[in-house]
Amino acid sequence: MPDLSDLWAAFARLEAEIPDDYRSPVIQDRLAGLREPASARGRRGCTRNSRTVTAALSAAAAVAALTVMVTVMGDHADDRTPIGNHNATGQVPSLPASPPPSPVGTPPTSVITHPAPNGAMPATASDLIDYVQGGAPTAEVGYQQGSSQAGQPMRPRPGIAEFTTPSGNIVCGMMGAASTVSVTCLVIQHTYPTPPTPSSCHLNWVASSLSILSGEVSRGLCLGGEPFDPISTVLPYGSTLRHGSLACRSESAFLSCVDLATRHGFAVNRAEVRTY
Amino acid sequence: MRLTADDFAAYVAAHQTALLRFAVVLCGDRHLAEELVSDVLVKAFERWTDVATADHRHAYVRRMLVNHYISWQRKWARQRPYGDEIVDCAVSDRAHELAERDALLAGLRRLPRQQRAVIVLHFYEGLSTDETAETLGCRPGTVRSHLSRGLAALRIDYTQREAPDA
Repeated sequence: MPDLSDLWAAFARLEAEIPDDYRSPVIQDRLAGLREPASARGRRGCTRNSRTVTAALSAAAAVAALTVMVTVMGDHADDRTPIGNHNATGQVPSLPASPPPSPVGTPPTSVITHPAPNGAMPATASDLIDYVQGGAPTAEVGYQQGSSQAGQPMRPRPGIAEFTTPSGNIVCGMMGAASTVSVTCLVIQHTYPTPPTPSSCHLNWVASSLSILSGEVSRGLCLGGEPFDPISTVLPYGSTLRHGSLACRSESAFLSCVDLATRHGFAVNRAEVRTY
Repeated sequence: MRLTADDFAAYVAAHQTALLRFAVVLCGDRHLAEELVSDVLVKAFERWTDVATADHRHAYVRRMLVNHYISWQRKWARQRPYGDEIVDCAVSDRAHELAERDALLAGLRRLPRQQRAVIVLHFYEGLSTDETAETLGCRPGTVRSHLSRGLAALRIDYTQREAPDA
């Protein structure tokens, strides 16, 4: 005669049909194209156009993929000495004292065709695009994390590219493809003003983060868990990493990212953030 | 202020796996589970303001899922009786334990939907009889009755039952 342990074992067998990282294409398809109700936008006085769930899911998936640990690292820009990083358990993993070797496929970084003009952030979107594209092209393969499967828009091919600036102060994830491409960067130490926590955010508000989602720049992230996975490859100063229509250039003065399709982007360092 | 779509997407990203697992345990069919969860998420998005302000939004969505399962199953059962899916297998001595679990799965599929929902909420989700009753919108006495009958139908040794309500 079966007992409760057999019942729980039966539940476990059913439950095992859904792997930990499974993202249902059925659900993805059903949610694709959903838009916020006009009433919700009106109540908030939101200036942005109606936001699709697909775009938001892409962003949320990106955050989920990167939401592993919280890192507290050194300053970006003129301080290359990492302070250390702390994971969610309070442990302090060691960081390399010097930048790690270039990833596979990364060309020499000494060729910088468009050096930073005295550390000043680009004045216009066109300047930003020229500047970012002027960095030394870097092969994305060295920055990709994990794998993905066809039919899983939430983890679209070719996967997620993550990088850390040499100072360790900025960690970014570039993900998605075509219209869902996005980049999210977390700035660990900063002195610039940040947006306040929205009343609708009951999770962790990461005020210092910057993203390009659906071609637009947004500041702050509301997410569960703690950001970010610090185990990503250093993008050497002077290098530009491309992912779809997105490009990010790492420089000692500031990090800059732009969506070449929409011409929106941002530049950020510890003291300043500028959006385009 | 946080956009509805962002908040909803964050919820989906965080809870999709748990919802799917709950649904597959509830209905016993992965494909149906995906249909149920996608239906419910669309409904939840349409009323996200209510869901987001609920004390326990996951419990709110779970309640939507159970209710959808019960009503959806009613329609589905007319087209595709659960019992037809079960294939009797020859049982070797070596496979006795697995066969017993297969029989248990088959038994679960044969249970009336409300009995199954009660058993899943109580023994899988770990809800008390009061919480289960609240989820299903019925009285605790009804839950206890479903539990008793469901366990009897599954021929589960009721004497070993723990008392999660205590």
